[in-house]
Amino acid sequence: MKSMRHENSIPETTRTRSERICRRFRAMTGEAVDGRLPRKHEQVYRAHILSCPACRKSYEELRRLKEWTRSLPSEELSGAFHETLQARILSGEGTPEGALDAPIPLGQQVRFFASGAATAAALLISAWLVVDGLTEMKGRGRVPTAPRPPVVSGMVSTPDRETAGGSQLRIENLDPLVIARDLYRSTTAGIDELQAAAPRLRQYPPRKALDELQRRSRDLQTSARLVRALGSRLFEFDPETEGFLRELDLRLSEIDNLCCKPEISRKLVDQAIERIRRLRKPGPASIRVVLDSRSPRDMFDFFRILDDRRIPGNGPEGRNLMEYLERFLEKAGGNLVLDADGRLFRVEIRGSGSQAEGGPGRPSDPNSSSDSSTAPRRVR
Amino acid sequence: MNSETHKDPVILAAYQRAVHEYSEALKGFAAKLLGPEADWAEDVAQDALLALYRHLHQVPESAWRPWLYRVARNLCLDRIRRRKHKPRNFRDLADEENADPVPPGPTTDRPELLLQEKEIHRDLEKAIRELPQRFKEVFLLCDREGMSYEQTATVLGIPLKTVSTRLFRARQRLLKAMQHHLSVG
Repeated sequence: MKSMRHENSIPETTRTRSERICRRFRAMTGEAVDGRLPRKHEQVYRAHILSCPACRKSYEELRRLKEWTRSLPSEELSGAFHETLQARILSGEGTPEGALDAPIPLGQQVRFFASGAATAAALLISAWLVVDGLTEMKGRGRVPTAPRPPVVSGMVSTPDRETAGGSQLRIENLDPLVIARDLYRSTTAGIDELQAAAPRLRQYPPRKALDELQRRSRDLQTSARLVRALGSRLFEFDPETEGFLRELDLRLSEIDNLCCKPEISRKLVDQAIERIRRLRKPGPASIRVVLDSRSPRDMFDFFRILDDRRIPGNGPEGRNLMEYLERFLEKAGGNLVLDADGRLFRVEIRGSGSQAEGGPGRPSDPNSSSDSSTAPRRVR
Repeated sequence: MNSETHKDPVILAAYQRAVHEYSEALKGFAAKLLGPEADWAEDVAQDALLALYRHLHQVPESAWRPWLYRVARNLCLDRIRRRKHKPRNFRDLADEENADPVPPGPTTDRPELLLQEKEIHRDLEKAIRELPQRFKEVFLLCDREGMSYEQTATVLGIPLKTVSTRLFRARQRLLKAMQHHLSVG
């Protein structure tokens, strides 16, 4: 009996340990498939599934289930759906019974959905679609296929308008070149900021300094990747600038790897700071607008691409291109609206009493004209 | 209703866009929650959008999507509750048995793949229908509608951890139900 126990004990222990490890990894499968694992865990997880067929199978199965679910056929609306909804709105029908049994607390809504990328995307491409709805709702009875009245563009020449809440509505003419230039400038300014901040981080304890260096360099890398990802879709850079952006991405990845090293030392901090100091600064860039920004169809496709595309390797949050662009625009202030003629506008609602920069109805930047030429322009 | 808000062209524009963007998805979500009463799904979607229009001045635009799903869910639960008190007749049951949730419409040129895909969809729809309500709604919001755990928690008014647990259990059940398809590939 004793010998039997001895014979079985070694393999049993090994098997149990291996099962325990696999169980822990299996518990992570859902988060791995959803892209919610922290980067550190994700690397370990990926390494494990490469070596463990059973865990790899679980991962694959869940991934396939998710794919199948997403590909389930969608429900088609009946032809009268929109007309009926509009008729119900116009008839003054109230909120349906049972709809608001458990309303969501406002605080929660704002906290969790402040980013609202989809809504921003909707706004970006909405005006030309929605102008139909507006006129119909006001009973003008226009046909959607007819040439759309440039309602939004008509507002451009008006001074800042007062909205219901007493705040100022400012509509600024914009073209994709302005977006390209601002994004590019934000990246190049990011290099200066990083280079200025890095030496100051020497006084931090090594761990804290490395974390901070990593955070800042990742922010900059995200910005550079966003610019590159938008390139060839909306605009393109001259080869030298394209090369600069590629190199910047590479150098920042190296800095990131340095900050991730397990052995933490003052020497590592110095190395990272030195690499940041050596980041090359760009020369003037030529930007050409690729897309016909006057075509709503083109812009619609463009923003759909933004919504679909993701930037790899930047943690679980904000990997959607649209979210990045939205964050950037948030900093700049306002939302974008595309009008019936395919022109872009930045719409900004400001608190009561505040004055818009650049004066009423005037673009704040000389480049922001409605004439979105496709000829290259020099910036910086 | 705050008529001043409704004069704001930016909000109206966004609302109109939201109608176009979310109508089908809301109908699909409602249809799956309602199960045998999926015929009501379009009404649910429309009711939710009407409710949003009446509350445009109260709901921040960034919260429209979860708000709509929340309302659609409330309306579905309301209808399901009513169904529970209504005696079912043979016709209802027969309809359920014969229901073909996969609408026609080829997605590939290869008939054998099309058939396989249809079978997968049919079995998956059935497995989802058979999930308990609390698992079903979490699974649909996360895996079908692509909401994050945080968004799903807000829509359903449950803690994040509960979302994670329910999603795990829903997926386990579905994996089990779909095992014969999974083992093929």
